[in-house]
Amino acid sequence: MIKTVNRLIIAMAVMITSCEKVINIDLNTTDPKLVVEANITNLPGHYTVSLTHTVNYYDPNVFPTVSGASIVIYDNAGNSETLTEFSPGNYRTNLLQGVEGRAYSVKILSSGNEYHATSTMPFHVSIDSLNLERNDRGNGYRLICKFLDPQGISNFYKLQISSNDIAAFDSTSIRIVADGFADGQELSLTYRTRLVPGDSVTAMLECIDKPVYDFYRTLTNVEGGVRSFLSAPPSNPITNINNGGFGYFSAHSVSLKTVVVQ
Amino acid sequence: MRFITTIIFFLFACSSFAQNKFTISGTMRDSKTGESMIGAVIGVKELPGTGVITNGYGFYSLSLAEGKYAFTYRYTGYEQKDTVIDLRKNVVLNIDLEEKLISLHEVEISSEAANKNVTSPQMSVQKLNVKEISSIPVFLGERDILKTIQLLPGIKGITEGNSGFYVRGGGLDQNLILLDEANVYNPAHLLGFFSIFNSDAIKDVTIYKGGIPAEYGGRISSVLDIKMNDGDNKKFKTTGGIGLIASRLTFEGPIVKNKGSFMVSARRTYADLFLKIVGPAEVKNSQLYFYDLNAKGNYELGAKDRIFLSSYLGRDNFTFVNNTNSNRNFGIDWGNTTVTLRENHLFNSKLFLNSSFIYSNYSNNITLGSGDAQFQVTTGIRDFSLKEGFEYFMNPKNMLKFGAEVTFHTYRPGEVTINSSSASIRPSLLNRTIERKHALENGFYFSDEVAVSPKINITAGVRYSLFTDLGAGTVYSYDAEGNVSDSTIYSTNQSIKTYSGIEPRVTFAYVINEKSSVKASYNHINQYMHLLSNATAETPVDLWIPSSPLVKPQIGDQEAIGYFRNFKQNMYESSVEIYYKNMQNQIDYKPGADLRFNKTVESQLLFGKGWAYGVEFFLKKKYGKLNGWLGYTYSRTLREFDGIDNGSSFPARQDVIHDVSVVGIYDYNKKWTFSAAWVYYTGSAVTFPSGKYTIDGRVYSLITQRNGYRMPPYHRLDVGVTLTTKKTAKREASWNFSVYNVYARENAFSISFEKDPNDPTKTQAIQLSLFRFVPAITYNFKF
Repeated sequence: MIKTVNRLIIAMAVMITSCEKVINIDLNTTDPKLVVEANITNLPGHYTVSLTHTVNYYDPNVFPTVSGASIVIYDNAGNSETLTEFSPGNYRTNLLQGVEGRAYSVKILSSGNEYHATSTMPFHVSIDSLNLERNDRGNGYRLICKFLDPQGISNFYKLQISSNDIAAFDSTSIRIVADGFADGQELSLTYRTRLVPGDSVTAMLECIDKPVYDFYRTLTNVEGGVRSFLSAPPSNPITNINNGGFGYFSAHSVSLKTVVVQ
Repeated sequence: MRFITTIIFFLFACSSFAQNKFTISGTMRDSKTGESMIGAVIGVKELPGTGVITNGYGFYSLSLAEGKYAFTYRYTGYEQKDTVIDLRKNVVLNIDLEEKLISLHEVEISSEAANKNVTSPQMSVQKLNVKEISSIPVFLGERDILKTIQLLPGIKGITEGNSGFYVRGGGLDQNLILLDEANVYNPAHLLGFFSIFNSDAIKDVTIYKGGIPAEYGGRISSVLDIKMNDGDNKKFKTTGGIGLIASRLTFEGPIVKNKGSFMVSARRTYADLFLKIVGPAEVKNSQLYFYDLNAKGNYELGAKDRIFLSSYLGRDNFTFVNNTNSNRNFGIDWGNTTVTLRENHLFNSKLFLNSSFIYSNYSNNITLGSGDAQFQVTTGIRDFSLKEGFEYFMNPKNMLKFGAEVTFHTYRPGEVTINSSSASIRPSLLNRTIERKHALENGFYFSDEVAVSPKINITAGVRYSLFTDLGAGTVYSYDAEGNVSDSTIYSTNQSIKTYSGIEPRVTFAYVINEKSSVKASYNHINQYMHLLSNATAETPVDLWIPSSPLVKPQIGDQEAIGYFRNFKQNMYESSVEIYYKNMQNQIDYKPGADLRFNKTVESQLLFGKGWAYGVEFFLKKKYGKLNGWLGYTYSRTLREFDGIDNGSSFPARQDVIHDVSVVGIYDYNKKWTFSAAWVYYTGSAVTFPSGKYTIDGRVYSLITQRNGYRMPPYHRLDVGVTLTTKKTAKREASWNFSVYNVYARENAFSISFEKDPNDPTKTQAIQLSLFRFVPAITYNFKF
């Protein structure tokens, strides 16, 4: 009797098993919009600004670059520089030096539209330690990055790990962290890796301001695809670019640490 | 104010006739079980159009001029009883009706009172007798009242197999769901695939879509009033069912024969047994189940007093046990607990009082780790309420209801507990506990159902609601970017913010003739509680929050008009209703809103407005071998928020434009009953990407419009067969076979946009369909 019931239950489960298939959804076309990726740091230049356009959803992943724009970066201490286009859609500074604590602005003139963004460069936080530990199964390493959050101020971090072999990391190699619940405490981030002896790993800890943090936080919303169940309706990330532009302008301070696998 | 004077005018107008009047009153019950009858009809042959219906406790009262009258007592599925009474003094007459043995739906001889749906001023209401809907085919054989009401016009479920319902464009949190008067905060089991209401324990279901009576308050879109069985007060009885996914067992009987009875009903799923059989080794010790326990007792203390104690306890439990590393154990369990203690008191044959003390608790626990290294987050809400509700059967022309209620709410937005001896978990987690919030909600109401003339019936009512946020607590204010700009600390029971509102509720019927009428209604309702959820279905972590200095009460205004017409001696009921609903202070969420365990969650909210309108057609065949209904709704639901799409209006997710449902039940003979239900609706509004772009070398979707796309149209046919193998006065046994989605329509449960695995430079849309052709078998018994 019990066996029969069990068989019935299994049969049931097989029958209700879901099914996935590719369907054709007619999506609207969109007018190309400007996408900005602009950075300035406390490290020596060049600082780069890249401009691309959005494409329709079903188009191949080829994003047209935007040439011929006029771009100026300036700070609140009276420094400014007009960027030069060194390759199609990629612009850079030659002289400007980023300074922690200063507010930076970027002004972009492209196809008759003007875009503007500001970002304040936070003071840097040093990485205290970057250690490797063999993982429990012995087939890889755990990479542990520790740093001390300064007390009394809100800090936002973007930690990016890179190695001679990028594929050694899973998709979480970029992480963003806010100190909301850990003000003044030591923060410790762990990565699983498949490194082998001889590899070198570099951790880059960026201190970013809140608008840039919000941009990355809300960017995950639309990463890759979108789902339509049990999730919030997807929306575009909060950007600090005005006038309908997408992307970000980030003034951030950087600290680096490298470790070599023994 | 003018309308209060109108009421007073009616009171005077009608009281002037009060001479030599006597009252007949009593309670109507099932002769076999003693179960009281809600909404049974009492008519007077000599006075067509004069009739009353029994209240929520089976009580009726009718005052007439001295004389001899023939009274008729009716209730669907029961033999009618006629009694001639010479009314020379006040009479107490308790009536027991006998259930029809042959069939529930056999042709009934109509009487004038059968057209109550036409003559009563109440509109936009549906009453379901659980027995009546028991043969409608259902998903996995589990009868579910929340899924059955979705087959009615104006009430929609927008995701496959989900019990969450949207009424006339209102949100999930705008339904007042009452189980024996207790507020149920999360009516969903298993992410909504089942509702918490075990049909075996339930007697009566009434849903108000509009014209909401003054005795209900606090939710702007609907009231779902569910009453549990009282229990058989004549003999002991066991009812049960064995299904593929769950089994049910109910035991009931007299405490003292004819004086009091009890009922205990339990249901449990066995999905976890399945897990043990086929699951991978790692999850063998995992648990996945839900259960419901309903218990109720009642006792007559005398001719004038009766007490009831009812309780519901239900819980879902998912525990994922990791056999190799117990620190990776994960569990989530949630559920509702309600307790209602009530006393009915009759002051005299005209004045009825129900006093209730109500407790309701919803909690959700998330547990990580085990033993020493365990940490838990609890969220939820807890209520204590007191209600006093009077019903005054003044004369055949006036039926008054008035009363008051007070509720003390405790909100638990997130409490962290850590197993004491644990050192491996950072104590900073404890700091993540978010302080509780408290509020006091009051309501005072008065309404009068007035028969102004044989042609005009009106129910005029008003409710005064009052809501106060109480300390202790910290109230934050925010700047334009959502950063905390200021905070104020309040001490215990200190008033933080008070909102109040006068809420008129009016319904009006113009009876054209005994077969047809025109009705109109208006209601204004304030809602002081809000459910934060940005998912399409109810999830256990959805959070109820009170109105606060920042979060204003939702305000709903609804106007509706309708035409009601019965055919063939009330064998067919039909109606057309048109409504317009305006909703103020609606809540939506900022991009990437973080709603879970966030002490500044209010900074994640956007405020805007919504409106909904539609027309509903309904045709129901009440009696005969073939019965059932046909419903069609055309409706729109729109929202407008400053922070979304630059303030232009967009369709709400529940903006389902066309909605058709057909339900048929065919009683072939005493043994066989066949049933079928077909539904069709426009796909719900959904946000899809229109473009894409690149950031840091990765690809992201570009969104151009909130809910600018539609899911594919949804349709499905379910069929069922009930084979009654035994039916005697003492024993009953039946098999129920059903198939959900007979023609295996692949309805979209979700649509995702993903990388094309064959060409990573391209993206494609993937549709997930859940249930195609799901057969089920259930065995039901009674002895």
